[in-house]
Amino acid sequence: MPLNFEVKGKTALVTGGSRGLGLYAVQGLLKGGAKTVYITARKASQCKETEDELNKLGLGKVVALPGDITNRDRLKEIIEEIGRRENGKLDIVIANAGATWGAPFDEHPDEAIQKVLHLNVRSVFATVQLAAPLLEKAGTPTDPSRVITVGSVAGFLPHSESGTFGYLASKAAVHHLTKSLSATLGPRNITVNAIAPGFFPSKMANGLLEKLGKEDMMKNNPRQRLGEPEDIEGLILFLCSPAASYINGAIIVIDGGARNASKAKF
Amino acid sequence: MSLTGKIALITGGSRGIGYSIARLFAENGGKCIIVSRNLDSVQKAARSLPFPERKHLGVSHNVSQPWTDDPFEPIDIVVNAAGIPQNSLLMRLKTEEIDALIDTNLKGSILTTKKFVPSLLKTKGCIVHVSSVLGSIGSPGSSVYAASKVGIEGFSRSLAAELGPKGVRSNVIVPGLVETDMTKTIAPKILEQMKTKIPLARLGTPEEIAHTALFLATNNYINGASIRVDGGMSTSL
Repeated sequence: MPLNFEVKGKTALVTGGSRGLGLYAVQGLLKGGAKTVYITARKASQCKETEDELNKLGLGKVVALPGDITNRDRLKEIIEEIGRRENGKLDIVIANAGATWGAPFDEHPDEAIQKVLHLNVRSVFATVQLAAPLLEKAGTPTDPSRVITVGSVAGFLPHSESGTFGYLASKAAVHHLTKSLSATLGPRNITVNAIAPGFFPSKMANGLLEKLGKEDMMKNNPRQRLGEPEDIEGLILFLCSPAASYINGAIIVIDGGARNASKAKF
Repeated sequence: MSLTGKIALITGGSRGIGYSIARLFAENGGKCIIVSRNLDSVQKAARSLPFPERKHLGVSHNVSQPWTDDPFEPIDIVVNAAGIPQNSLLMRLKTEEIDALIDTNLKGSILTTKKFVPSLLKTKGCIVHVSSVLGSIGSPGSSVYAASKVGIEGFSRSLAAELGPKGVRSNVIVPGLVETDMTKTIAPKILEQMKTKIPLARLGTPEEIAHTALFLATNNYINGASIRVDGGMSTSL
């Protein structure tokens, strides 16, 4: 019997779910039949707006739980709130919230490194640690709960021409953290995998995209294009579905092949 | 996940992971051409696939040999799943055994890919290779097998850059320990020991590997990637 590529009846938390890759992840889960998707975003107005828009689709329910997840107390409140609403269970966590900062090496601010590592690494760990009891309650040996982290091809490539030193290091850290969490949480029926996207136009990526030249980037990509929302939607849905229940500790590159093409840059 | 109207050629398709991929592709609308050395078993396997009205084919061919001209229809998906195991230490391996491992596992994937690239360029199709977690973890008695499997990953990455601009994708599935005839030969005691090193504490099923193949056949932006499907085995050693 084919296993399905669906997440029917599942509950999910997507941090940074109001826009960009996080939003695509939410859309993928909703299209796959998720029952409820909780989204966090720092800006309450934007979080609410996305909630309203997505709820108009008439798919699963989207619930905005705005807050700055680098504040561990707030993150804890958000996850406790989900626990109360879902009888202490949660099927899927997409630890997506992330930030970047670009500045030349000699004047790169220390605070920028701290800020980026805090959100991109420390808060990913905190999200998984705080949500683990809910995930453990929902997972079974045949259909484990899922954690998806969002790495990046930047985590493999040391290109620093854009001066995103913290971001590059943070994404390499996310990949490694994903592997160690997969070994720790696998026995608790929770799988942990990372997606490592190439360039997907988003508010965060657009600045860099302009700098590096969008046309060039498309031309140098083996697939001759940048990523599109559907690419991420499909990958997230696959990884969260029964079809991927044996995938654990994997870093899945989704970049059209650019990472391996010598002319491509990031 | 529909493969309606697509034609897939699957080497090593009469049993194990290859057969599961053929079965899942057929269940999802595809027509399958499965390839294996033994004519009887490959035809029997082709007949057992669901939706026989699509006229799945069983083709007898040894992948270590060059393909001769053939009457195949345009191929949309090539799956290189044919492989043979290694069961002894390097010092005990005969030269013929080394040749067979490289010729089947590595050269076989190369020759089959080369044969069907012209067809894939027309259909804007994709290639899915099946490697092994043994290619990236050091395990005694797997030396040449590991070399053949990790070779496939390098082959695929280069193909992704070469064929991507022409609309053809190439990706690798890296299975861990999977319930097949190949792992049945492992002594039960050793198998139990191995399971303790897998975070999910079980072997994968051929169906689980097949689902990753189906996903790779349908996602349009994954190219040059290797996807590990091993329960976390390779992260815990």
